[in-house]
Formats: sequence, C-alpha cells, structure tokens
Amino acid sequence: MTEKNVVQTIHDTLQEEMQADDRVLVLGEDVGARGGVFRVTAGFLEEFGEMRVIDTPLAESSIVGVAIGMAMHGLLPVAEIQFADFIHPAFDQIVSEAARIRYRSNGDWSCPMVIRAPWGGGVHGALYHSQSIEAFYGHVPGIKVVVPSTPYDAKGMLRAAIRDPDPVLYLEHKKTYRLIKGEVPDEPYEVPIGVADVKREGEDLTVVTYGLMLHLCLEAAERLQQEEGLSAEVVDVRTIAPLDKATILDSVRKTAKAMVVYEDRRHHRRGADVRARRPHRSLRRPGHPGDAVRHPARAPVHARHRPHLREDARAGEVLSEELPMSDQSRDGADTEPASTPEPASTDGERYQSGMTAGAVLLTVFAPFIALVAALIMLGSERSPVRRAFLRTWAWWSGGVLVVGTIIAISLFAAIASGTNTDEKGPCVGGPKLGAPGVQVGPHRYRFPCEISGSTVVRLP
Amino acid sequence: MATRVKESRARHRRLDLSDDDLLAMYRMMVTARLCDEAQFRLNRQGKAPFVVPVSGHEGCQVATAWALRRGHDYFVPYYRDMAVCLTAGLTPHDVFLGVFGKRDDPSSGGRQMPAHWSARRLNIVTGSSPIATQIPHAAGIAYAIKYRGADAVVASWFGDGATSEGDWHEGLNFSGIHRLPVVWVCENNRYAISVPLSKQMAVEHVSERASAYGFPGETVDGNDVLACHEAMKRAVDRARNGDGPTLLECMTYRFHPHTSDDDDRTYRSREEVEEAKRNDPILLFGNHLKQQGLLDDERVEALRAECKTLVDQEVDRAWNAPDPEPESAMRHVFAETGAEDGDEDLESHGTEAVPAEPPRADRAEEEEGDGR
Repeated sequence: MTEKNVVQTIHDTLQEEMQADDRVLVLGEDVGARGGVFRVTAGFLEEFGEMRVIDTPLAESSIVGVAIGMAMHGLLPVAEIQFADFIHPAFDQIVSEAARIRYRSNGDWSCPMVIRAPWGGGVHGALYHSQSIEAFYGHVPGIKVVVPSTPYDAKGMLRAAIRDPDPVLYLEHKKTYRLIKGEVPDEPYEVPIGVADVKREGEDLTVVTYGLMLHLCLEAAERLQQEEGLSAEVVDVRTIAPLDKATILDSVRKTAKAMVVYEDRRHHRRGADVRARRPHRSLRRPGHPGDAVRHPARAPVHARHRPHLREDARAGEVLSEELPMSDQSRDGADTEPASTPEPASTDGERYQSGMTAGAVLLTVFAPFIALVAALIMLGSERSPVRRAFLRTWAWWSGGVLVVGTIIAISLFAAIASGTNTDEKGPCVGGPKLGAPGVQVGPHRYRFPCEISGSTVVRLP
Repeated sequence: MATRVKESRARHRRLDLSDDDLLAMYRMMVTARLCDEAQFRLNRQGKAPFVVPVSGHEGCQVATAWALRRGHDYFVPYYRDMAVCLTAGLTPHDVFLGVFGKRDDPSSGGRQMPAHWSARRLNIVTGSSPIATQIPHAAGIAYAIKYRGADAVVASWFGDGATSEGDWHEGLNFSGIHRLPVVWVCENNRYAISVPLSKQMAVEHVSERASAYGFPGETVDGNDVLACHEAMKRAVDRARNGDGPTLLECMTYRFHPHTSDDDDRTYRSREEVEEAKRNDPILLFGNHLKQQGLLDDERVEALRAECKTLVDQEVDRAWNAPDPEPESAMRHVFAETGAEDGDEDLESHGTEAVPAEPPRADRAEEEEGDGR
C-alpha cells in the first residue's frame, strides 16, 4: 500500500502496463518531452522511447483514428485527449468507427483501445476546460465510458480498460488529480468495468454520483450524519456505460429516496438518465414518507470565478436543504397514488392547488346562481323582488365573470411558469428559476449555459 | 510489328507480370464489371436493395491492388472498391452474399449496406459510410507495422471527394511525419456524387497535395492498367523499403450513377459519359492484350461468357444462402463472453448491464417511459 493522488496513480499504472506489455503505447498532444500537460506521462519518453510515446500533431480526430488502426493491427493504444472539452473533433472516429467496428464487421474485427481524457470543473478552466462530456459518449453502444474518482479505482479501472477487448473512454476528473489521495495497493489488480460501488453505507437517502461530486457528497453525508443525524448512502457510479442499474436500484430500494449529484445540466445528461430510471414501480412504497425521488443538485462549475457563490454556499446544503418533491404520478396510470402530502411549490402542487381553487369556486357559487335563477323564474313579471334580483344577478354575474377571469389568468400563468418541460422524465421537480441562473441570497447569477436546480455547493 | 509486341511484352515483364498475370487481371476486371451488371439487374428486380457501381474503375483498382501481397499486406478500401476486394481475395459469391444481406456475408453479415467491404482473414479492413474515416486507420495500421518491424504495406483507396475531409489531411500528415509504409490511392473520377472537381479543390490534381505532407505524389492514367500498376509497384516498393508513403492519383471515370439511388443525368451530360466510355479500361486493356497476341475476339467472348456463367451461378447460390437470424442483430456490440447466443440487453442496445431485476417486461415499460 502506498498513499498516492489520482494523477500519480494513473502515471504509475500506465507505466507498469507499458513495462509489462509492449503492445501498450501512448499517443497524444504533448505526451512526449512535456510528459503530458498534467504530467501523466512524465518520464515515459526517456523510459519507452519515441516509438511508444508518440507526440501527435494537434489533431484529435487522427489521434483516435490512428489509435483505432493500431488496435485493429493488434496493439493496445492508450490515446490521450488533452482536455475532454477538445474531444469532439474525434466524435465521428469514436462514435462511427471505434464503437462500431466490432458490430459492423459481425465480430470479425475489434478495437481494444483506451481514450483518456481529463474532464470536469473547478480548476480555473472556465468554459472550455471544465465541461462534462460523458453524456455524449455514454449514449453510444459499443464504447464503454468509465469515471474512476479515487486512486484505488483509477488504478484498477485503468488496468481493466487496457485489458478490455472493446474501446473504453477513461475519464479523469482533473480536480481530483491532486486533491484526492488514497491508499493504493502496490500489486496489480483490476476494478471491473460496469460495476458501481457503494462508497458509504446509509439508511435514509441514496446519493448517486461520480467524479468530483463523489467527494463532495461524501463530505456532505458526513455532515448530515453529524448535524442532522441522517445517514446517506453514497453510490459511486464509476462506469457511465454500461450503467450498473442493479447496484443503484438495490440502494434505492433500501432507502426509498434518491438524489443524483453530477456536474452537468439537468436534462439529457447521464444523471438525468439515472434519475429517469429510478421511479420504477417496484420502488414505490405507498405511505413511505419519502416515496419520491428528489430532484438533483448540481455544482456550478463556474463557481470558481464567482467568489460570492463559494462564500454563500455550503456543501451540506446539497443534502440538508429541504428540496421540493415532484409530481410522481405523472408517468402513468399504473402508479399508486401518493399517500403523503407533498410540500408546496412544486409544479404538481401548483397544478393541484389550481384545480382545488376551481372546484371551491364552483362549489361556492353554483348554489347562489341556482338560487337566483330559481327566484327569477318563480317571481311575477313586475315583482320588485324579481327586479331587485335581476339587478343583483347582473352585478353578481358580471363580478363573477371578471373575478373568474382574473383567477383563471393568474392560475394559468402560475401553471405555465411552473410547468416542467421535461415531460419524459417521470419524476422531475424543483423550483423553476426562469432564465438559466441561480439565486444566492439577494443575488441572481446568470450562466452561459443552462443550469437548473437551486442548490449551490461549495467547491473545496 | 513483331518488335513492337516484344517491346511492350518487355514492359509487363519488367513489372514482374507474366502473360498469365495479365490474363488473370483482365478476367478480374471483367468479373467485377459483370458483378456490377448483375447487381443493377437484381436491383431492378427488387432483389438487391442498393448498388455501389464499380464500372469504369476496374482498371486502376485491379492494377493497384495487384501490387500488394494477398493476405499479407493490408487493404483499406472504400465502398466503390469491389475490384480491389476481388483482387484481395473476396469472391463473387462473397459480393452477392453482401448484396442480399445474408448471414455469411463476410463483410458484415448483413449489418451494413452492400459494398462496405471487410474480411479480416484477407486483411481487408472494415469501413463505414462516412467518407475518409479509414485514412487515419490506415496510418495507424502502418504505424503498428513499423513498430513491429514487419515488412507488410498498407494501401488505402478513396475517391476525389474524400480528399476534402479533415481526416484525410490528418491521416496523410501523420503518415508523412512517421514515414509510414502506406500507399494512398485516389480514384479520381471527377465527381463526388454530383460535385465536380472544380468545386472540390482549387488545384488541378490531388497528387499536388503530397508535397505538403513531405512525400511524393504522382498522377497516372487510371484507365491504363499497366501504368497504374507500374506506379503502384514503385510506391509499394518505397513503402516496403522504409522510404515512406506515396500519394497516387488515378484519373478515371464512373460510368454509372454514384449509386443505384442516384440519377447522374441531373449533373452530367450523356455525351460526356459516352465519351468517357471510349476509354473504358476493360476495352483498352483488352486491346492491349490482343496486340500482345494473348487474346483475340473469340477468346474475349469465351472469357466473358465463362465469367458470366460464374457470376450467375454465384447470384443463385447467394440468393439461396441462409438469412441472418433476427436475434443476431443485437450481437457483437461488445465482445461476447461465455454463451454464444449473446447476452446483450436488447432494449437498451447493449449499452447497459443487465440487472438481476426488475424482470424484462417491467424494464421495457421503463424504457418506454424514457420516451425512446
């Protein structure tokens, strides 16, 4: 056992793999003399020589494409994309080629290669050195996407990725590189791809997460335990694709509450997919106080550039803030009705209160209207009573019309502004903030990309 | 006359081609042409879904592929390269298995459109429909060959349109930097579907670009089989000797539309096509062989009839071959371990691990809930 940080672990593991097997070689921008901009391949050029440590031209598509060719010939290339934000020129080579080669050749050819890419925010990287890209590739059959977040997993999963018979996108959260340290066994071992890991056992809540957020969640779970006496179970997804649904579902069955924490946008991202899966019938327990899946928190990757955000925010808020629940019965008739009242201000609640108000109005006014009508019908033509009632009725009906219209408009506005656009996801909630941005105290911050949800976490 | 024949025989003998080699090359070209004709016939009968015609390209394809060692060197073709692949070892039977999308189609087992060639045992590297994506692969294979110190050579074929792609530039640039054992063969037929060469590049010849990558480029008459072969042989020798890549541009013409779904009357005149057919490589090479005394009109007819019988037989055999099992469509997304019947999660296209529960019916519902 040796204590190492993540980047040192990746360096050492790659070095051991190259020492053990001459089919393994690395290629990428600045991997040679510079030893990689994050120093993952430091010293490799001296040890393994130019043929195995290839400084490529600045051309991501061919870094991946050339690695595919090497793999088809029988080598085990480890291609480095300097920042995950720059991987997209290679999208076609990854998606249309690497991920398809086995399938399209009916199993005749294969493409055993690893693409390493540092991703994630928190390192003064701003827009183009902070992004999460895992969702794009996690949706592609034929390629595996892994996100180890601890030194132990980084070693075991890199070994597994290099030995995997299929292409693996190996994502390294660059904030964890030097921040996260841990004990790493000196002997070789593999951490299987496609298996999530319960990093912290708990009873009251399941937190599904990966990357840097894993460590924030572990910290938050600890505080939650100390300050609120609640125990959170933290599941590290570790592999984005293929997703280990069994481990996640097992944990949510146990706690009946789940929260997904990741660095990306709420919709169409990998966490959204995890979220969409969980409110499965088999998980719903009528009457359970937490019989709903709570909306996800996310960390503002730009917070590093906005000091007030950091000052105002507290990691513990991720878990302890009373997050609104969603309309859980939206996804179909087979759902058991919710048996517990939900906190106000969710979309479903707003909709329900609108309906209730309408019903009350009808109930209150209908007898009056009926009474007026009856009196008018019963009274004689010249009766002053009838005239009085007619006058009153005119005022009443006019008033009801005006008031009703105002109520209807305001109800419609409330529902429209609160309506969640994600109709596909059966269990999405959370306050709608209107334009992308986040409210912290009296300040409102806008972001260049959509950031949903309301919780802010402190970056370490 | 006798002296002229002797001189021109000396030409192909200088290229280490025997008389029999020339006849075999001619036969290969005729076979490819007949496969084309049969495919169009089948297409009109509704039996072949899609045809990527080779007609017009047979000369440069057979001539260049002939310079490589079958089963030893690597062939990285594009979809119009039927004659390259026949030269590399695929048979007309294999071609028609692909046309009909049969189970035993060596290229993809019916997973790809016809003409997306592949056969690992023959070192024919699988390709896709996006253009020029095979170029970096060829460079990577060549790099691996160089790394291993092997004496194999890689050749990659592509059309003139492919040279506009970023991958084309990146692959050639990489091959130049590392002086890789690879030959780049452009089959320049002057059109990328409908877009003429003048709108594809501002230079006259693709080969001019080679200088930008630090290796020689050469333009040859793609309808002159011996000229193509000679240039290719030089390039292959250079590659095998460690002298790096060559860009070879074969000027040729496509006689048919881009594919069976294209209508070339919308972008080129019939006169232009008829004019090009006067330089049909099969016609020119046949004339050359007649001049050599290796063929005469009767033997040409006999050879054509023989090839036609063979092609027709292969069409029937392939038509009657077994179709793929529908379940097999989900196989080979990832490497298969254990059970041969595949264990992929059908609903999620094989990207998800299969959990122990919930049961399959429930999972299907869940996926529907995803809105997929």
